[in-house]
Amino acid sequence: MTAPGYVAAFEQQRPVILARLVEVRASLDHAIARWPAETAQAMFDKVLIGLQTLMATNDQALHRGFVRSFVALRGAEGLAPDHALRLLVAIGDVAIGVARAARADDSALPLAITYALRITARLVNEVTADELARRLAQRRQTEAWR
Amino acid sequence: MSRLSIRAAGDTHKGSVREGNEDALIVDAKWGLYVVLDGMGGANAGDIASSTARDVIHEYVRARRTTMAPRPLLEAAINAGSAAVHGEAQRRRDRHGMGTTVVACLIEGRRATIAHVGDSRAYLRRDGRLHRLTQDHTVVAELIARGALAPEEAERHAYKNVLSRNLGAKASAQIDVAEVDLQPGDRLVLCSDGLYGYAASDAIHHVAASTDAADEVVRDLIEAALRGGGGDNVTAIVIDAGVATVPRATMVLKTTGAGTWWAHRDRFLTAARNHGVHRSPLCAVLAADEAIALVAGNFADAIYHDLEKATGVNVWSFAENLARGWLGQGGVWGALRELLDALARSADTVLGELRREDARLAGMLEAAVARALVTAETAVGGVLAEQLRTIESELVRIEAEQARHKRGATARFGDIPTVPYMRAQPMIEAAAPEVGAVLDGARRRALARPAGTGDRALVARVIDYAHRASSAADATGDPTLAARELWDVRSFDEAGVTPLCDALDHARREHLAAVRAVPAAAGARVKAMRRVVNAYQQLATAIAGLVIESVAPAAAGLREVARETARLREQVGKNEARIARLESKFATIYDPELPARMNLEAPTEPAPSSGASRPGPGPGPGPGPGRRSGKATER
Amino acid sequence: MTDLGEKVAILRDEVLDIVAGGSEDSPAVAIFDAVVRSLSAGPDTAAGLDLTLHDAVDRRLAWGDTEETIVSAAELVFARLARAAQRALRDPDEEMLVLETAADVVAGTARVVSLAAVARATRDHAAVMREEAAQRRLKDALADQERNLARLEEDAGSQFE
Repeated sequence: MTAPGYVAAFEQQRPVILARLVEVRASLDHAIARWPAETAQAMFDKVLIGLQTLMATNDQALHRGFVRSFVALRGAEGLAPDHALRLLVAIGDVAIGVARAARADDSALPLAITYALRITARLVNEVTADELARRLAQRRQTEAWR
Repeated sequence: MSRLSIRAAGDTHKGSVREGNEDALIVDAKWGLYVVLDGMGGANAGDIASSTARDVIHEYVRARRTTMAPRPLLEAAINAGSAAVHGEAQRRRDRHGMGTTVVACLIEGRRATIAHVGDSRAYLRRDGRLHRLTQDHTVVAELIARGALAPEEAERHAYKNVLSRNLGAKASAQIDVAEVDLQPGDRLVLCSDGLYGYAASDAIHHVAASTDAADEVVRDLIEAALRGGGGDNVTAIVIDAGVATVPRATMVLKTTGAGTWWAHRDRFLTAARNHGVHRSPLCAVLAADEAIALVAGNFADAIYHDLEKATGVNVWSFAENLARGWLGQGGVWGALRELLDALARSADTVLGELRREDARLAGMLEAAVARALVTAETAVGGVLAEQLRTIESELVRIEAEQARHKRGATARFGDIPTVPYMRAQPMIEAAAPEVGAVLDGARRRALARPAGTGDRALVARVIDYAHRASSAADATGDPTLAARELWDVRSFDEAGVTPLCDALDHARREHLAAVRAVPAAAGARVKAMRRVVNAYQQLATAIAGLVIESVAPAAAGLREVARETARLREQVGKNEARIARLESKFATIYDPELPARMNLEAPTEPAPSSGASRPGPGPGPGPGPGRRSGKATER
Repeated sequence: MTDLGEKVAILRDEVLDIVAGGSEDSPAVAIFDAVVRSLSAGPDTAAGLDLTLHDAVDRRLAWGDTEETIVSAAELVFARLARAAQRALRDPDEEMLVLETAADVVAGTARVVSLAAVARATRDHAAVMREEAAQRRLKDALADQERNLARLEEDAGSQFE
């Protein structure tokens, strides 16, 4: 299948975006600020590849898997789902900034990243809403004990 | 160094919960001094600590501004503040332990010197990003710096908010200093933890990123903290340096884009009606026109204001209020999601028409609206997570009740087999007759005192135990056994601990006063006193030992569970890496004609882990999900 | 500072010599300082929990000292101070006041430690529940990953047919 042309531009700019993310990681999130640079870079790389795959394929089922892992891993590190969401959006914003700086006359890539961010944010909310529904059911069950 | 024009504003608010305000601030444009302090200590000691430090720092800087360089001046002024607070704390018992944090900024020319102690913060907004300039002086941060704690453990640490440094703990303080060369358009924000502890961090970013004047930004920051609960005093100072050159595209969006969006407002409301916004369950109590005006109208207005001010705070507030109002009354996520999608489709309709009129402006607006929708989802995500936290706290509470109920109130603690908290106690000899007489007399006096508040029978039992233990009358003087007997059927929580400790304190004071009052030789009284205090000391530590022993299984249980979580994390992490490697191997054919717009309708595959149904249409325009190319192709 | 506070302060090195292990931040130091502080304030002070001691104990717990360490420190400070006071103070009334004050501080320490222990247990219990929720999310994520890996590996295999 074909993928939109801006995906090539994103792939080309990925190393620059990655370097910029590592550089500004302290301003992205105070929790990430404490991570060693290599650990942060590995996480950023997975997020960028996840966004690129989404932009290339619009495969939301695949992206949901990525989002679920990301939220679960961050949750196991003590970061709440909204915290994980803000981190993903912050990463996306940096990518948009780099894309704009690279080619001010080309709006396709920044727009595509924005849409990918919107899908990502929606999927995080789906995952959180599922968890919330599960916990509400659990509360109803445990309250029945009373 | 050429000067930048500086505009600054600051304000403080006691918050929605606290009775008083223990924060303090300095906004002194004349001397370029800006300071936030957050006091701590019992009664009103926090207020005294912060105001004492504030006055000393202010005076110190004023007196030496022209004769000292900024960095040493700020350090010396803060140390003078610390000495003043420390001295005051030593003078009065009710001020023991008082202290204050501080974050201070001294601006000279284009250079800002920022010094801080504690967890009040300084941020720099530059090029649209908010950078934190200070690291909180917390125990967790210092443990990580020493390598005693892994960074990923920090967020789960029980004491993550305990300060490791503050002014007043000692006469001088360990101060961190940073220097920033300011550029036109930079904005500094100084704040106490009442801001970032309660305002959503996205809200802080959006407000700080706006082009509003400093005093409006301060007001909006404080409002964001109050909206977030306002559980602490909140103080903020905003310092704007020079005037930024606004990028041209942003200028176009602000002036023409906002105006164009406003001009299409009615078209948006019509589209919203066509897309069924008024039929949303969230609008069930409203008439159709009302629903369109309130929901779609407010959304359109929020986008307009955000375009005008190059911020996201209005869309953020709109989405947060919508989500909180709906989810807070038990509304389901599905309805909220559909309403957001309907609003997004309405915006798409307007943009589609605009494209025919002015493709370039439509493109810029499309990007801004798309970003606004990201902001809306993020705000909604915050509310969902907040609800999740509330439910989880309730579940913890219910489970704890269940566990207490299962343990049962009928078994006496002495009957439950546990590993005894045993300490080797030195044998005490029987008391000499004159000392024994003092001990007996003290016991009688202590037991005969009028009843005060509290459990008199328990106090009497404690006095009796202390008497036996100090007399070495019999083997039941063992403090561990006595602690178990006295604990009886108490629960292991504050409600169980506090009354027993209160009874122990009461008994000890009465008993020791009685020892002093017995008419006897001083030598005999002091020997009796040594025995009695020793008995009370042993009992106190035995009770503490009992509590520590009884709650030990909780920590062991947590360690075990945490190990399993770590194993799962590692597995998920490895799989993530495998997936990323596979995804990056795929070759694709790039077609530059394909549009940037992507589809946000529900995916065709339902979420496997949830039983929730997924209504909604299938994929719309744009590249749909599909398999990758069957042939390797050069990119 | 009252005379008695000064007299006891002089005993610092003797009482803390071995117990403190040389660290100014050890719990033993905080406990001894609390005794001196209480004696220095004299008779006009209200009974009640010393907030400085409370904060010092909390801080030691935050730094990773166990509750047992702090209780042991309190016991040792009490024992050494009682011996030192018996030796150094000629006036029996002064010795009795020091013993009473030391017993107050030990009891205060025991109370703070007990409350911290039950609070920790409550937090640990809540943390277990959070870990279990995190495990559920991780297991869900693993299930998704297995499915996606199967698809991707199949696609990767077919790509080179």
